[in-house]
Amino acid sequence: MSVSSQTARRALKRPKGLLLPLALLVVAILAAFVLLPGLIAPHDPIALAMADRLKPPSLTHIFGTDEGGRDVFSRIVYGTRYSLGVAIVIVFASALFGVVYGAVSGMASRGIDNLMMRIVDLFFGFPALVLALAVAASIGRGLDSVALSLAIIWWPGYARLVRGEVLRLRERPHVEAARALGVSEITILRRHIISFVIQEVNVRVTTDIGYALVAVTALSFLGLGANSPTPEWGLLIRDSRSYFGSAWWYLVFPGTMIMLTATAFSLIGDALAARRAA
Amino acid sequence: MIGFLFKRLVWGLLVLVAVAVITFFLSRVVPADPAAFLAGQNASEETVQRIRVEHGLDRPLPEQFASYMIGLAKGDLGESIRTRRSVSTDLAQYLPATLELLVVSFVFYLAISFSLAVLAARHPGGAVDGAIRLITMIGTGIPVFWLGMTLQFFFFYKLHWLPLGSRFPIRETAPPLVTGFMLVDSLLAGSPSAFLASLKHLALPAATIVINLLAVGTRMSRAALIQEQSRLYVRTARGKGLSPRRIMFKHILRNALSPILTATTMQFGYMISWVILVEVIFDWPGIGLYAYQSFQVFDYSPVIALAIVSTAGFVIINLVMDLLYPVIDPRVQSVGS
Repeated sequence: MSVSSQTARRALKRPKGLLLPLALLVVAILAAFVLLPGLIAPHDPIALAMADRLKPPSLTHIFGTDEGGRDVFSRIVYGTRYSLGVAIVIVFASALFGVVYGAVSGMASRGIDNLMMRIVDLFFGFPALVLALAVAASIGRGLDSVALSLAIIWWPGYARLVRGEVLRLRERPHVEAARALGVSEITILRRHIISFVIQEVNVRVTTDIGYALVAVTALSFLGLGANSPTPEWGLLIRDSRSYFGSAWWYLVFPGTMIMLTATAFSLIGDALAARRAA
Repeated sequence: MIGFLFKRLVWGLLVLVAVAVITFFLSRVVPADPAAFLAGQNASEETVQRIRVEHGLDRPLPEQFASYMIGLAKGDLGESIRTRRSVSTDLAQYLPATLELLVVSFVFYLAISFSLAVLAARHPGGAVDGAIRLITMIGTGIPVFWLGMTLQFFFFYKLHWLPLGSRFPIRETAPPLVTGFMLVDSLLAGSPSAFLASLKHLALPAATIVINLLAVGTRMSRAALIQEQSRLYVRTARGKGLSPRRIMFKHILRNALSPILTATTMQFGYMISWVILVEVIFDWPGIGLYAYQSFQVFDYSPVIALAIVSTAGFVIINLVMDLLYPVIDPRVQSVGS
């Protein structure tokens, strides 16, 4: 291998020294927000305190307050469960369905495989978010309809990934050996193929959580998700629209949280991919 | 080649039929009583019954589906409760604004992303490459609506350089409508001031879309270039003593064009999706804002129409891109046919 191609490979898959620990730290903090919001948030996320309306960041309210005098930091902490929670549900549900679908397609006969994959291809022909928008709007407002509509557009990516991996793995020596020993197809799939596929899926899931978070908050921002006063992040930004000209903190902090979270997950996903490639 | 084109056309048609089926399902089957749904929240029983007959909702489902499909084929996208006009009329009015925003953004996106990718691929792993990578990584995590509002905060509230939203100053008369593209129309009217005004209004929404696309796009183009750079023919070219510039532009770029085109097609899909959010934030009177304002008052036919129209747009883009592949890479032709 030439020197230049080695550099090229390294540049494509280089793990990012200092960034990875930072990303892990962000995820740890998010986990704490999800598990113990009551311990971390200094104020009630819902109760109104009109006297403290739209106060800039201070020692009592480090991220300032919103139009109802509520602590923006506390609302962000409690909101993690909704925004990140829904994003994780979407990605896990899509991955689960996609793995089953992709595995069946990869193991099935040529004709069925073809048909199943054409259905997957169809989904790549739609502008995904618009479709999700139409679905969510028709089902009605709520985080559950946001989750459902995004899962509907999300699973085909997993189906395609898994089916490709299954086809590749099916020809590998260890699978052929198992088949020669008379192991049943189901067992081969479960023990000798899926266990490898899962590692690939893990990478994708990690990265996708960040993207799903951005999508969830986007639909919430459009008014399809949670209702006020739920402290969902996208909804916070939607609510801040009337005030952010004078109250920058109301806009800046929820958005920064989304950005940090999404970047952290995609950094970790990249690191996982790099480790698998190494 | 003809066979390939035919295959792609059939496929495009299939995608459109699929979206029609999905939207039919969404509009007729998901709501428990579509007529009551269409009539609105405070409608009387007579109104609901009238609407039921008017829209043929009393007929059996397969018959409804057939007439729905025939209507779609004729360009009938239903009626908007909010504007009391047919959705196709509304769309015709709002579409040029969306197209103008999309076209301008996409041209800028292509130019910038290409230059950045070339810059990054020159020295993979170098300082410029690292900086571009970090920025694109953060860029993918920025929610587009938040980015738009942040730009508004700086360029409108703080610096007072650019307008907050809409396409043209309210107090001034817009140039006469010819193409629907404000930039073109103001030039046709021979008014540099109107051109400047519409350019100022376009700047922030377009910048929002461009920055958002750049993140993912540059990442993919860069990867394609670097992958191509490790090929043997590049080493040969280097060995022959060709200048790095010549190798990059004559050899690598030419070969990396196909994967970049694939990435670009995907970007188009994202752009069609994100433009809705951008229009909402910047009060840009396009089809995204139209659909948004409609579903805020529980008027859903515009949303469904938006899904159909944007899918049609995406299908056409995909078709054009498919036709471009053999042009930029002759090897593709044999695979396609």
